[in-house]
Amino acid sequence: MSSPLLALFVRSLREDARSRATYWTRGVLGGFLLLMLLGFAASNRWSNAPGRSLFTTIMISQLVALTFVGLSYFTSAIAEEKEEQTLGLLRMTGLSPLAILLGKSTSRLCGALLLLVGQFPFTIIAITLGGISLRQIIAVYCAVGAFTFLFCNLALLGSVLARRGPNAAIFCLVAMAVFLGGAPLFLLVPSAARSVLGADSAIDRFLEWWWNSTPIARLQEVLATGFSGAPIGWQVVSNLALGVACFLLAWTVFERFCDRAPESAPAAGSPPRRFFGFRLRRPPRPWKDALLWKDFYFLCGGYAGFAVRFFAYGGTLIPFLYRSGGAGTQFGIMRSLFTSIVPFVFSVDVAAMASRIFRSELHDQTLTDLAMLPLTMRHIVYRKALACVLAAAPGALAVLMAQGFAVSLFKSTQSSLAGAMSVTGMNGLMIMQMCGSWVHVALLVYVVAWLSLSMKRGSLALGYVLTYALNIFLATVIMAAFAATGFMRMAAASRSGATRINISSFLWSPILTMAISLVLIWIIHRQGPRRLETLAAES
Amino acid sequence: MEAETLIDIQNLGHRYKTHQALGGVTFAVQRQSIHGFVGPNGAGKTTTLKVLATLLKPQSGKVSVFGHDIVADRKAVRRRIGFMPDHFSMYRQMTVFEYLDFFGAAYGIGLGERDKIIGDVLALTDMAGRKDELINGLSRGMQQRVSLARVLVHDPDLLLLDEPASGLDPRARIELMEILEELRRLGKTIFISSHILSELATLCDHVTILDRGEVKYTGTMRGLVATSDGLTATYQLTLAAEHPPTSDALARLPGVSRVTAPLPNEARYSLTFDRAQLSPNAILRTVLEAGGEVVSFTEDVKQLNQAFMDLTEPGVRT
Repeated sequence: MSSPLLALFVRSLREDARSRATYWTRGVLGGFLLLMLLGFAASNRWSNAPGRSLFTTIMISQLVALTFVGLSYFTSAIAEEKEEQTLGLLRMTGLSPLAILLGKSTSRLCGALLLLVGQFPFTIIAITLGGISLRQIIAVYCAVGAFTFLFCNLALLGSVLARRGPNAAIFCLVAMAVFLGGAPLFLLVPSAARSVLGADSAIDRFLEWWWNSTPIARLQEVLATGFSGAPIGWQVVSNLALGVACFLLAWTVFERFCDRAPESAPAAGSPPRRFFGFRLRRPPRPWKDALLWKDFYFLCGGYAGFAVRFFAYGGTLIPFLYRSGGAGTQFGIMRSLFTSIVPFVFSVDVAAMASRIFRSELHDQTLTDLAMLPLTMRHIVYRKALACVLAAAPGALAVLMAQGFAVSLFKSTQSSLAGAMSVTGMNGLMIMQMCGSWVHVALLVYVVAWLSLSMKRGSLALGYVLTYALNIFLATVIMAAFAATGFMRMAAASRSGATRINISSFLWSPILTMAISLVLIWIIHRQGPRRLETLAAES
Repeated sequence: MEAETLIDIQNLGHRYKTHQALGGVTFAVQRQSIHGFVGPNGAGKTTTLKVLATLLKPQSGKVSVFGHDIVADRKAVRRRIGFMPDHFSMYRQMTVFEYLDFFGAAYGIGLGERDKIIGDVLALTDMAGRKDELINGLSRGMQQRVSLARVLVHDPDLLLLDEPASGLDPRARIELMEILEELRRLGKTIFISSHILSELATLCDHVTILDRGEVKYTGTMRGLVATSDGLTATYQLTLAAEHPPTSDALARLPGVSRVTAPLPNEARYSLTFDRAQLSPNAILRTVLEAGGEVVSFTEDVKQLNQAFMDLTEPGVRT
């Protein structure tokens, strides 16, 4: 294939085919799917549709993984060339914008789609477990494939528009959040307010059309019992059309946004520091703890970043203060939403800091300078971590308050459960889950920081995927073990006439997950400084 | 009186996964000297410097700096050395002052003392007027000055500089060399690596030549010239205008083995002579007596390069 249009595309495919990482990724994915299969086969003996449960878990995991990994994998297509100032060299070779877009983006899309195709034989085993048909599996793959196509092209558009990879990722994240969450958020607007606009039914139809374009709605539809629709639905068509539109738009604006000269060095004189467009003062003189000062101001945004976090996280807590709103009101829904969103946003925030804490030193090649200080590498790591902890304090406080609210909600419903479970057991379960969420965030931070030592980009996304996959895997394995022992004990207790469930069995899952996470944290904690010392010597 | 040894490397060996970087390297660096460390690419210079900078642990052999073992007394060694790597490593979002202030604070220097030290190093590197500028906006030469200023902030006795002149234009190179001369006058010991011997010829008093992980020569710069060509020396003489009586007089001098004819439109002679029979002073006197108008009279640097070529092996290390 000697067409200049496809030259870059063919080269990218060849590189992928020769890369060991491609085969390792597929192998690990296959292994993960087989382990999930084993776990489900063991733990869902009593379920009516273990095959569907397995397939649903796998596909939801894939969607989450795709969103996170795709954010860095797809958005770096053109942005990385801009950052490394190699886009001009590509243009000099005579490659047209279309050839560059195809070469840099379509090969990545092919890689992602091949990953989906490669797992098809594994997931098809779910049919043998029962509860799902081949038509449903094909329909789900079509839905996920179409969403991947849309996501890749949206990321490509962001990559063309943005100067840097992180900006492209933010563009893509916001666009995806609007696409996936826009319709449900509009539904939160009271219908009375919508009717004021004068076209209540038209808006509702639009929102329904919008919601049906999302893969979430399509998966809900396809994975419902008795699905007999066509494998290619409205979601597939709309996602493909939107994807093509994004690609065409990226092609159209390519010349305009990619022919700009790279950002020039700032002019001499007093250097401006800006934060969301606001001019900021330079940081004060270094504190006695200079490393803490450096990372707090230059990595975490200093007091300006602290203030933004304080008000942003503080704002999310306002709905909790509306005591009058019941669970069924809009505030009740928002409160429930924020209970889950605040910890998630906090985890993204701290993981983003973790992804930059050492990567920025490696990027600037300053790790050697730090290693030359008369301090141990472990001490340096602690000081840097402390800066992030200081910056993340408002978020941590908000999460604690959100968890406190969740506990109070739980307490209010406790009376209805008290008949079935012991109060001590319920409190224990609650505490375990809270501790578990903190340990999970800690593991995420450690994994992301560790990955960032060897990955230029994508450590945040991969860290999320790995910790998520680990959690799913551990939960499955533990539940399988629990199924083999716990239910038998419960059945025995039931036969002996006990009226309450012994909740201590439920506690084992978070305890074991936490224990394994802590072991992993300890290993990274031990190995991290050594790896940094090696990198400092190698740089 | 014998000069005090600051760096003592005995039989240093280091192996990477695929190749032996250093195989039994032995040499010493004297206090208050500028010691050149020269070798072709891949000779093991940076590995040796990283060992000296305590970034790499020696796999075999013994290395001591200021009498401290670099493995056992790493902290003590780090306090007294300043290492400038061969790459531009800087926090580019900081201003020059912030950058130096940060490293001063990281070394535990108090606020008042820090101001004085930063002022001094900025004056020394001629960067005082640009202290409030972002590092990102500085030229490569300026950034190299800032990097040198950073190395000096904690007032180290020994400077380890890994190819500090690489990537600099001729003016910036000359200015850097002048700063290093000034630092020697201030009592610093400088260990400087380069893969271009002639670059260090005028600066260094001692030199170690490394090739494929082995020391090929260590000693004075003068000694290096002697080892390359026995007792002969080659000088370049440039006159204001072509003057045949001068060249005739030089050719008749006892000990002169060769006088090359001047190139067209250029009154430049190359003289090779026996050091035992003749001194540069005698040659210069002869030229003046013959009526030649001297513009310059310098030892041929090419001979250093020849010495380097003779000592190192051809080809690239695999």
